[in-house]
Amino acid sequence: MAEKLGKGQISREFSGLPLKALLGAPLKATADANAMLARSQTQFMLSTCFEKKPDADGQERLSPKMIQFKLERAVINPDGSVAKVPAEMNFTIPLLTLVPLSSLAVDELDISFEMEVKSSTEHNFEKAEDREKSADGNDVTHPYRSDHFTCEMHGTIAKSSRSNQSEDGSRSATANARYDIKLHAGKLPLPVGLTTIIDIFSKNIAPIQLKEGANQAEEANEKNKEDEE
Amino acid sequence: MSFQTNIPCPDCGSNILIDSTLLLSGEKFACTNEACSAVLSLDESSITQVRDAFDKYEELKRKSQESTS
Ligand SMILES: [Zn+2]
Repeated sequence: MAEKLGKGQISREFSGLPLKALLGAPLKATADANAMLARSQTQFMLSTCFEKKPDADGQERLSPKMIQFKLERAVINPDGSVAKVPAEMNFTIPLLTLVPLSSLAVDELDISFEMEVKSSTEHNFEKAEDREKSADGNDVTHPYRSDHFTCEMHGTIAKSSRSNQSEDGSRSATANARYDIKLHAGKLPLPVGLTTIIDIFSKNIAPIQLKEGANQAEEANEKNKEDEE
Repeated sequence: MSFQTNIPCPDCGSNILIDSTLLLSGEKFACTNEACSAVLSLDESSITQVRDAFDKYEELKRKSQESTS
């Protein structure tokens, strides 16, 4: 049988909770969510925008998937009029540059509650000789041991009482314990490494203009190869 | 659901704004630079590949929103 939470019982549910757990649990959950998001975005990028191809050594490497675009440009006739048929060319770009990737992650976490501190416990694991050493002058180089000292606060989430007056004039009081967690997910800037790759891909969309000298150089290279053979 | 993206113009380097749904329907997109006459569209040979990537991207976006809400 389900038990109903009575007056004051809600706040008792939180009593005895250490402050560390109240603050740490939402933080850990947020960090876990962010790690999961980053992983799924990386998986999407690698599996959708890249494909495995064997290289010259026969080893499989990830190569960007390329997609083909058609580009039309207006042609101006020698007499200054616009030609009816535009010039057309095909070019390929990596699929990665077309997908607006962004690092979506929880960028703000707001935890709010009022706490009545009921008890605090201090655990000191420091040995007597360590204590003597640290008391010996102000040696700041003395190794800091965080595990030698812990302090925990236990308390209850403060309950707020609200009284309501009903039609027959009787008053009833309700107790609420508030523990608010607000999450905000936003876009974080992409890692520099990824933006550099996308930038290089984007810059390479432009067609390469071959100069007359370059053509001659290529012809000369081919002639040299023929001579060698 | 469609989304907006942009690619640099191969001719002048300005941005060409692209709508994902219109791109897949074969629509042409003009360069935002008024002095440039470049117009581009997706080649039919790449439509399936791009549609598949866009679908997966939408799915990723939906899952990301679900896990952070
Ligand atoms: Zn342009």
